[in-house]
Amino acid sequence: MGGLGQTPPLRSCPRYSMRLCFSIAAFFACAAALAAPNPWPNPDEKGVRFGAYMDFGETEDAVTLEGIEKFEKLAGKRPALIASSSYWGEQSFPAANLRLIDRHGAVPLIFWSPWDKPYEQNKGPDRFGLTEILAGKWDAYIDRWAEDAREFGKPFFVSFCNEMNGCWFPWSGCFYGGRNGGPDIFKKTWRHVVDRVRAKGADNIIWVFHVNAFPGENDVWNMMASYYPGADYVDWLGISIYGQQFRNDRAWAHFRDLIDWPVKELSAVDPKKPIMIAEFGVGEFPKSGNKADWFTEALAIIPKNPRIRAAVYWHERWQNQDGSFSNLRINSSPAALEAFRQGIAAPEWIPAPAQP
Amino acid sequence: MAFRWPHDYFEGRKFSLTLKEDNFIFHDHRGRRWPAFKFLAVLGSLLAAVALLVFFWSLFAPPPIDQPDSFEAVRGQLHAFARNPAPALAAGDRVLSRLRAGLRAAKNPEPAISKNSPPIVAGFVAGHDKASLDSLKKNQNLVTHVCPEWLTFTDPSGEIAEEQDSVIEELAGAGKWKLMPVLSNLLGDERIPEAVEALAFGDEQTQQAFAEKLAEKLSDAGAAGVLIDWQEVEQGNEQELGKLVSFLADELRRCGLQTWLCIEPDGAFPLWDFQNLAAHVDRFVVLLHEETGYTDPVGPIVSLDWFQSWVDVIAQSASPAKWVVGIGVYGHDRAEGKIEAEEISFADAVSRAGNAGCDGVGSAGPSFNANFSYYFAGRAHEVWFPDAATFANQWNAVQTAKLGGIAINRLGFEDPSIWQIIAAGEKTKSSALGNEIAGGYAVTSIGAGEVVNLDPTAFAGRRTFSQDAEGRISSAYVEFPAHPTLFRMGGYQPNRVSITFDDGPDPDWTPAILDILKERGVKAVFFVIGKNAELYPDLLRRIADEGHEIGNHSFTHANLRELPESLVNLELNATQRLIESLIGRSTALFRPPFHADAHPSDVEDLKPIRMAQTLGYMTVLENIDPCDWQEPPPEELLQRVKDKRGEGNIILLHDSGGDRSSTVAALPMILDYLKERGDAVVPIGELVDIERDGIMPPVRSNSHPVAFFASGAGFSFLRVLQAAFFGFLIVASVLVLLRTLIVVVLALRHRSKSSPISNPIFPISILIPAFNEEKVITRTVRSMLTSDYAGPMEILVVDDGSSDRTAEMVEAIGDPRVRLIRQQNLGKARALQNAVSNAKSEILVFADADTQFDREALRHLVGALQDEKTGAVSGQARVGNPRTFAARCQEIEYLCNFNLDRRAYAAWNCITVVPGAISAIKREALEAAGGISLDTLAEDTDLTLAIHRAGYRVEYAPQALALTEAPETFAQLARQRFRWAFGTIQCVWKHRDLVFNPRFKALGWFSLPSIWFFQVLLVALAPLIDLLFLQSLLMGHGSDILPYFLGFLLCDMALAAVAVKLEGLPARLALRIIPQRFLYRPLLSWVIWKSLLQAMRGAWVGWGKLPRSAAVPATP
Repeated sequence: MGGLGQTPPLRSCPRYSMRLCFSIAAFFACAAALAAPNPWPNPDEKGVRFGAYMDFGETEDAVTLEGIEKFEKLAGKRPALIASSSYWGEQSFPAANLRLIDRHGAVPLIFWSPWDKPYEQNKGPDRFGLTEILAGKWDAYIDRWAEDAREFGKPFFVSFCNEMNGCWFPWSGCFYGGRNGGPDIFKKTWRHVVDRVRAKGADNIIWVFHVNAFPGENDVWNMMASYYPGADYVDWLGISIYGQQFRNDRAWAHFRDLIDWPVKELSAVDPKKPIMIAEFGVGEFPKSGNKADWFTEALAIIPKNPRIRAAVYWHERWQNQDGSFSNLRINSSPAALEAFRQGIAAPEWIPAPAQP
Repeated sequence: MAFRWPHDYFEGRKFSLTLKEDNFIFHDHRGRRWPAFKFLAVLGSLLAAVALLVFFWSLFAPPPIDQPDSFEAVRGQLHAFARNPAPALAAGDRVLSRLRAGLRAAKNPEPAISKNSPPIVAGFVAGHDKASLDSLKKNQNLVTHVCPEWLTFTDPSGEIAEEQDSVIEELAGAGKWKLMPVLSNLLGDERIPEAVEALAFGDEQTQQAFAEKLAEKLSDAGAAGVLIDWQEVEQGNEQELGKLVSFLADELRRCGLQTWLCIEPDGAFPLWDFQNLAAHVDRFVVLLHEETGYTDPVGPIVSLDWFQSWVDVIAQSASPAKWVVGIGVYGHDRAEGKIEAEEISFADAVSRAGNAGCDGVGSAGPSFNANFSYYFAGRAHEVWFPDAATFANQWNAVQTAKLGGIAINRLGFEDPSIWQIIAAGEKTKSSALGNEIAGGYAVTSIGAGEVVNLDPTAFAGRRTFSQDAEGRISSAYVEFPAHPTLFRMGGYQPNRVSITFDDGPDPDWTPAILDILKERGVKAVFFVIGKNAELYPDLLRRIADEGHEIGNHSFTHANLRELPESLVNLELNATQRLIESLIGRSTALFRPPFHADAHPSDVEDLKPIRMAQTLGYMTVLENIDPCDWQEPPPEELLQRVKDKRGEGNIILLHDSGGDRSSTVAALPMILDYLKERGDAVVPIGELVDIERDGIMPPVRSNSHPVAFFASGAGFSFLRVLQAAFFGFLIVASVLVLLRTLIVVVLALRHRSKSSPISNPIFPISILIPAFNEEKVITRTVRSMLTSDYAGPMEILVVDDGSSDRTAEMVEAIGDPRVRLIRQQNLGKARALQNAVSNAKSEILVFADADTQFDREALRHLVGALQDEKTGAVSGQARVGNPRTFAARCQEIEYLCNFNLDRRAYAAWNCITVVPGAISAIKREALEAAGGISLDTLAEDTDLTLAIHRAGYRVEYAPQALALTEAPETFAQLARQRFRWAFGTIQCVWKHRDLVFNPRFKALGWFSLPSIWFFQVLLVALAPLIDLLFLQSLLMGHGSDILPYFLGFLLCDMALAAVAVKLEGLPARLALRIIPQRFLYRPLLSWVIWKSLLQAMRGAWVGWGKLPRSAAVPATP
């Protein structure tokens, strides 16, 4: 993705060498420096980075070495990308998590979500509403977060306000007037936040524009493209693709059908950016469908799309209000685990580099 | 160490004393030496005794440790704070309505429970929890079923695992109750639903195999059935799950086993097909343990309304008696900022409330749970707990609904008063409940962490009960009971950890560990054993110098629980004194040997902690014990640390007490892991926020200076003594080795030098002093007369006033060459003088009356005198009577030591004695040497040294053989050797100017110093070395001394082997060295000490004479 950097020169010149950039007019040097930070040095490498989120608890940020190693043992492969969250309600920067993941040899992906306690879906905007952010109410927090991110120093992915085309998270367009300018408020907020973070020099962040495969409200105003804040503000495109998650859905779907047109739509949003399946997974419902087959198919199909450079499996099991469980874990059944291990073992799935 | 006599002194045994009694070497003319010596000896002993007493006193007197203020203050950090209003109850649980619907559907007839079956009182127990077993024991007559956490099932393949610390064997048949082990899907703290789901969807074969395995395990354990407790399982698969449970229940029933099924009161409740299940399952156990889960926002554990609503629902089922209600008796303590609440016992709850000074606490409406709040260590805590009032209300609800009974979760956590309610059997009234609350039966704790401060106080408490119009019972606490309480510190820090090493220092492992820690800049904690620190003071200093903390782990790693208090004090004080004297700092850290587990459940376990605390220590326990003493492979050790890392903040490893190579190999891996995990490895001080001077305060010179000095000096002296001992061992070994080498080389060279001897024809005079030798004298004289000596000879026998027929026997020989000289009894030396003055020849051959010469002996002996510089020559005496063990020992000694030494010494002209038994001396040399003197017991040694002094060579003729008669008992041997020893000491003292005298070359630099060092000093110290060796063996440090011991023995064996070979005798003779060493050494030491004391005494005492046995057969 070396050539994909579309960022303005002023931002990406290293802080200490600004003058160097201009005075020596090293156009090529600057052009090189302008590229979005790249955690993986070989741009020509074929294949998909194996990523995972492995049940880091209620706030998705209890990253532990134990949790990571347990998953790695199950999967039989070490993820190159490890996802976790940073909810605004915690008012903190997950520095310890980033360092832990980095020490472990993986690249962090942070879901940076303006969400307040209690972290419940479908409740609508809270004190971290997009309009509050736009009004500058949370600038101090954003600045602090950006400084900490710069301090961390190494490239990491940030998926800000993910699945905004759904209508379960409080930052979704549907909560901001929907067809009447919802996506616009979103785009403005995105640019506001990214500008502030960049102004603090956190050039090591790789911004992921992360949509849901299927919109919460299936209407033209809610298309993925309506939320796109612009090529200058985004480094990667991301997408969540889930199979059946709830027992009562009774709607088993093949992965090939799930990935098909959503990825096409996303690809069209920006023809140049690399794509990441920022979340994917499926529950274990033996009476609905065969999870093992789903895995086999998904893990075979994903690497076939050359634009998809990374995919993050959502390894979690949770209990729903009705007492039922959604078991997305790769080991929800012996057959599922076996299928996942076999699928992920394919050489197209690139693991974390071997540790010394 | 071997006692080597270079010669056989001629024996005074047959003669009266030859010493001049008023002028012998060591004679004390003024008679003051002995009293002065005695006085000094007594004074010295007294001083040593006083020093020892002061040293011991200093060890018993506790060194003052300034307990860090913050440690003392820890209890002060605990206080109550205003209680929040009890949160509103979760009114009308939303699942209840659906739930009712679910149960109503199940109203069809179920196999009824017999009306006669008594109500069930089941109790959950955990093997690792002693309180749980104690409670069971105490209330065994009230419990009908015991449900130990035993089997778990977490592997999708259907493998059934048993809990490691299970007590199933202990429980089987131990009471009247029935055993209903729990089959859970619990792995550690985590539920594994996938295992159950896989089995439910698995094929019949797998299910069948599972059922058979389960039935077998249960039958083997003597169980009445199984309690299936599968939680977090997807009920959406109700058909498959229900079928699995029914199948298992049927299979078990065929084996006469019951199946009880735990039901969770959650949204999935209606999904169970109770109608169908009831036909298979014997009991449903509905787990009404907690309305508020341990990760939920704080609230009542089980409010009465919630409980009642579930009971009401169940009461509507077709057979309420089939239902058993799980009742929770534990409380929740949630610390501010923690996601999970701590599950605490009733004892913990009331202990915390009491210590915090809470008031107004009670179990009252609306929830009928008790709660209170407190601050500890800067953190707010909110506690909710059920008590006897809570239980009474629940019990009454169950009784009213006529349900099947209760299951108490878990025994050991309960309010002991609930047993009054259970014992009564009926619905309870408040008036039936006693007001006293028992105290002191449990160990309770407050806070988190493995560094503990103990408050041993214990007393009973009091509360009142009341009852409202609806019969609901409330409690109000008047005074909380007290239990021994541990105030915990150092917890709540998920990313800080301390590594502790117990039982060192150790010369093999501690340095390796210190190197690793140093390289990585990590500070650890070493709980040292005093006796090891005393052995390796430099290691202790290095530990302190490199910034690690040192803790007290007792002096001998004794089980302090079992020692009287005075000895516990000694163990701790001695170690503390030693640490102080070595590093100038005390330590405030203590860890009890054997019982460092952070959860002492037993009041007995607290004894060492209480005593240490009285002395000023803070006790450091541990929660992460990978059992490195089992010497697992390093990877396994690392895995164990990983598995337990989440359970605490202190890791226990060992740097001594066995092969710690696994620990050393795993340490870098553990440090890497901790680093990757994001943990800071810190010393205890940082963990509990106390600076180094608080943990290891510098010794204040003005506090107990005498004790400090005495203990320091005592330990230093012990160390100097030890260093000196080892230094001496090393020097001695080197010298022994050197001497062995020299002797072997020289002796071999002497052999190659000896050539056939010409046939000498000088006239010789053979001088034989005799005293009461009638049995042997004839044989002796004849052995000489029949020799092949070619020259003229005369034999002078001097009868030293014998009282037997010695003179007649000599006269009866009737050979003209034999002359008898009679004298009154004057002793051997004077007899010899007499013989010399009567001898006619220039060459004098000395012989003992009991020594038979070999036929060729005279020729070889005299031949060696041919050189004009040679003044004297020694023949080789051998033991002629090897009949007893004592004599056989001497046989090898004569062969090896005397003969070999003399061969070697001859090469360097440093023979120290030509023996009276067989030797030849030129008259001119004898006269130049001043004749035979009377001032030592060893005239021959004295004479030999004087001949050296006169400038003559002294030679050895090993072919000149003679057989002599050796003492046959050890008593006789001891007497002989005493005379030899005393005589030798006299001689080397008399001729001390020869030592290191350049004129006398090898004599002055080698053979005489050899006598001083090897025959006097080393032999005198031998018992001490043996004693220390024995002590080392007993203390397990035998490996330190064993090499020296074996080295000495090997040297002796080598010498013996060479000697035996030189004489052409069978090699196995050399093996006799081994028993000889063990029997001789004490004997020789004894005679040396006796001789030295005799020399000190300076006066003479007489000794007895020995009988003569004529045991040497006549020489052919």
